[in-house]
Order: sequence, then structure tokens, then C-alpha cells
Amino acid sequence: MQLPFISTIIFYFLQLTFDHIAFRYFVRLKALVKNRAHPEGSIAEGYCMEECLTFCSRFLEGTTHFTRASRNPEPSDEKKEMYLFDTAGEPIGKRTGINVDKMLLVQAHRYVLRHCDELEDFHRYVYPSSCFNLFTNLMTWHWSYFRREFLDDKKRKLVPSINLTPSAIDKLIDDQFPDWLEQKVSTYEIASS
Amino acid sequence: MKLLLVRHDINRRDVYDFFPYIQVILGDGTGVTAKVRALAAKPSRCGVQFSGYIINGLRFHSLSREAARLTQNSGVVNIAEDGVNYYGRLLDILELSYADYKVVLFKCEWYDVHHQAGLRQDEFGFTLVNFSRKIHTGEKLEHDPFVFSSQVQQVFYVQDPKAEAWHTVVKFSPRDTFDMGAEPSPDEAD
Repeated sequence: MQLPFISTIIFYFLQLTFDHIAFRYFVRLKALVKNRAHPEGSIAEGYCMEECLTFCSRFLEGTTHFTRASRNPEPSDEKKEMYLFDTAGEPIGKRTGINVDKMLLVQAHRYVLRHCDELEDFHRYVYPSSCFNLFTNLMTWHWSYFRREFLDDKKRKLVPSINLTPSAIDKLIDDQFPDWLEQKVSTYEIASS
Repeated sequence: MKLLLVRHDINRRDVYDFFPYIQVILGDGTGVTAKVRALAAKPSRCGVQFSGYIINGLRFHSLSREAARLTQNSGVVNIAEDGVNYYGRLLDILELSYADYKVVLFKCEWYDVHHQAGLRQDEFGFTLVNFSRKIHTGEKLEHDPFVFSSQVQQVFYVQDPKAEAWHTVVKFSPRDTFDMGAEPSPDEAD
């Protein structure tokens, strides 16, 4: 009962796809017929000419089918360098300049700092690269240099006997790390200049 | 192995004793790269907003852009490091500038994936998300509505005809791109 049903579907499906491909192509071939007394000859000639033109167009200057720029180009290296965290892409629609809400700005900045590998470059100075992977695997809590120093700073100010829970550390980093970092780096600036 | 032992209770002073040159690198500020400097200086208040963004071969539209459309390009999923899939929809695309650098962030509406009321699997193995259970809406300071544009993948949501708020997640991979697998890390190549 089922088999004939399926075979019918497949038959119609094949027929449809074949018809579709063949008829589309026949349209192009028929368009090549210039002399109705010799349709085959016209088609052969036209086909040959089309191939030749396509071949020649490969060597033409200017924009042709082969040299046209892609419609969704990869961002250039310059742009990739400018956009941190591989976030470079192609914007759609109008660019609207806005004044970002203060709270959103804090949230965004916090997110960026939390995911910033640059602040973790410390490991690369201290340990040879072969050790680096081993370390990242072993340490579930790998603090970056700046984050580390920030915590050292904060702990010195707190009562030394208090042990911070991981959630308290997270909160501390979320709340105070951005300001601390800004200050820290500016003092580095002054010291180096 | 000796290094590992040191790492256990690492203290800045220990490291300085062990590797005196660190102090030289970081102490005089030369360890601070331009990127770190830009990041530390906080982003400018003037941001740029887009209504759509093409990245990694995926086309994203914000919800407001497609309000009048029948097409859907706003479904995002962020796969966290611990393997949790955070489902959401794209609200806004923000470009922030850090001095010479820029960052594009997607502000999304995230759905509660930690509770049964927000995420469930049906008997056919499909994942369903409850749109009425939102988390990290961005109203409070400790909320986290942002995600990097490079981090998200695209999904589509199909409304469950029986329950209005529930939407089936349809995963999707970009056309004309191939998953070549992860690149071998430079350590392995050596």
C-alpha cells in the first residue's frame, strides 16, 4: 500500500527537477537559434561563441563577472585590528549616533573587562608557552595580573582574617575593578612619562 | 613542575623575587599595551547604534527592525564556557569606542534557561523556550544583557501553537560556510 505511494512521489519529484533544469536550459539554447533552417548548427555556433566570450572576459580590465567584489566581504585586516574581540562585521541600516545610557555603559564595560585576555598577558611573561596551556587547564581560577593585583590591593585594606568567598570576589570585581584599573593605568602613564 | 608549586599560593612579591624582570616590565609601565590603556580608560559615552549586523556569515536584525516584517533574524544563542546554551533575541546593536579601538556588542533579551519554567525538552527532543521568562533584562546594574557580536550563533524560534509563550528552538548553520573543525593550536603544531 505504501510502496506505490512513495514511488509516485519520487517519480513526480524527479520529473519536476528534471523538467525544471532541462526547460531552463532549453530556453537558453533556443535563444541561440538564429537560422531556423539549421537549429542545431546555430546552437553549436552560439554555444561556442558564449564559451569564447566568457573565456575572454577573464582577461578584460575593469569589473566583470569574475572580478566583481563579493557582496558580503570579509572585513579588512585594518578593520579587524581596530575592532577588539573579533567583533568586526558589516553593519546593516543607518548608523545612529547615540548617547549611551550610563547604566548600559557600566554593564557593557564590565562585560568587556571580564572577557579581556589582554589583561591576562601576565601569564605569557611569567611562564613559557608550553606551560601556559597546562596552567589554564589546571587553574579553574586563573586571575589575570591586573585582577590579581586588584584583589591584593583590596585585601590589604580589608581585615586580613576575612576570607572572601568566590561570589564576594566576583561582586568586588564587578563593582570596583573598572575604576581601579582606570586609576592604576593612569598612574603607570605618569610613572613612565 | 617547580613552577606549578610556585603557582599554588602565588603572591606578587614571590613572583617578583622569582622573576625579577617582571618588575621591570610591569613596574615602569611598558607592560601596559595600547589596548590595555584604551580598555582601562573606559568607553566613550558616544556610541553608534545599528539595526542589523552581518558577522561570521550570519545576518542579525534587531527586534525593532523586523517588527514590521515576517522574516526572523533576531534569534541568538550564546554557548557559555560551561556548555549552557543561553537563548535570547537581539534587541540592539551597539558600537562602543575605546580610544582608537571599537567593540560591537549585542544587547539581547535573554530567557531563563536554568529553570523548568523557562526551558524544557518536549517528547520529540525539541528544545522549547518560554519568552515570558526573561533574565538579565538590563534594568538593574548587576544585569548582563550584553554579548560580543562574535560570540553568538543564530537560531530561529517557532511558536508553539498550543502555548503562546513557548517557542521551539531551531538550530541553523550559515549557508555557504563549512565547519572545518577547530584549528590546531600552535603548541600542537610544533
